[in-house]
Amino acid sequence: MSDKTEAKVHRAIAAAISSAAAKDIRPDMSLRLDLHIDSVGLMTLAFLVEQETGIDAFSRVQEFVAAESVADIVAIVRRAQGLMV
Amino acid sequence: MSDSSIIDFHSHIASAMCFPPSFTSGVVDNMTVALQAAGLPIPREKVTRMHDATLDDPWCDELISQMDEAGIREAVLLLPDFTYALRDATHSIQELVEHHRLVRDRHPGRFRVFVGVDPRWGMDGLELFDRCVREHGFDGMKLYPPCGYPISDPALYPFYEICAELGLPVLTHIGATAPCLDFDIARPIFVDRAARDFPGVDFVLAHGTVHYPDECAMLCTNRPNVYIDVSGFEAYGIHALHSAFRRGINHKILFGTDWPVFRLQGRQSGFIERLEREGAFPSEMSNRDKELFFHGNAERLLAKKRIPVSTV
Repeated sequence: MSDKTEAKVHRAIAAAISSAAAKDIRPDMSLRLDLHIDSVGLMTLAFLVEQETGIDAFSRVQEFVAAESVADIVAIVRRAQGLMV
Repeated sequence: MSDSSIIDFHSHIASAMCFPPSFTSGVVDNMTVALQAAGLPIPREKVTRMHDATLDDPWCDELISQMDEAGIREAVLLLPDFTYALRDATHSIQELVEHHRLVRDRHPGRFRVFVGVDPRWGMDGLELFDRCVREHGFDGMKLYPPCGYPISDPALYPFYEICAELGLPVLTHIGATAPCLDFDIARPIFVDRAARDFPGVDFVLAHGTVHYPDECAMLCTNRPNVYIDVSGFEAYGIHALHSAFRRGINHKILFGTDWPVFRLQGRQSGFIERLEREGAFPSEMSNRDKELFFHGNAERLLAKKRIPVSTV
């Protein structure tokens, strides 16, 4: 279950960015420093995570603003799904 | 720069009370256009919600936490007065002044306050500014020309006389901003007359590596009392900083972040890390010049402040 969540989040991130890094997304990657996600990119990411996972991402905007890494986004989704992180 | 020596010369209180709805609405408009262009049907309401999430730190506790993490010792809180030009402001300039005073006092030694008063408020505005710097001990003036006045407007001269008397710098927005305001009136060259007429006042052109960088650099080179801050580098690229550092004006360039404007793009520590990581500093730039950029220039400007005679 949790692997599926991670895969969906990675897919959403890959769709949100256009760099070569999209091919090799890892949990420890920094959203801003490694994947170069800017303000519009973060909104795009929240939208795509919503589409991929079905969570209400925009009710958790504070968590998205505070998220630093790929793993943080996965954790947001798991929290929203009521899963342990 | 991990020894907490950095001074951030350009920040704001992250609260909706400081930014009228018409101002933030324009920012959201630009974001929405970008998202629509990318083919993403994100409702405007959701974009607004995401943007508003960056304005959740009215007492600057989160900012202090991020400053500590980033090695920022002090930050200048800028209070532009939008209340004359944008009548949907939710708080009066007096209320905002009081809030800034409370925030500064809540975090002793961490914040300076530069206050703006729209010159069209007349004598009431001048008296408020005078009270701010003499009684509250605020540290400078913040101007926002897109609200409808040029930097060398004669109506500002009484304010500059106070700044000259008390050794206070004037920091002015330069270039484009929220679409509900004027862009053309905020050109750097408009500082020239005031800088000539008030050689004892230091004028800082905000976002000087982002908007009109050549004109800003020319003014820094040729007017002894004109400076720039680099806020906005987070969005507009490190390469512009690299160019600026090679223009022989490193004694005029001040570090600034414009918190919370770029909060969706990362933490304060991340922005500072990016400077080295993405090659902001030319190889020939000396450590001394880096120190001037991160804190020395700011310390020099802030140290000119004189205690008002009436409070000695």
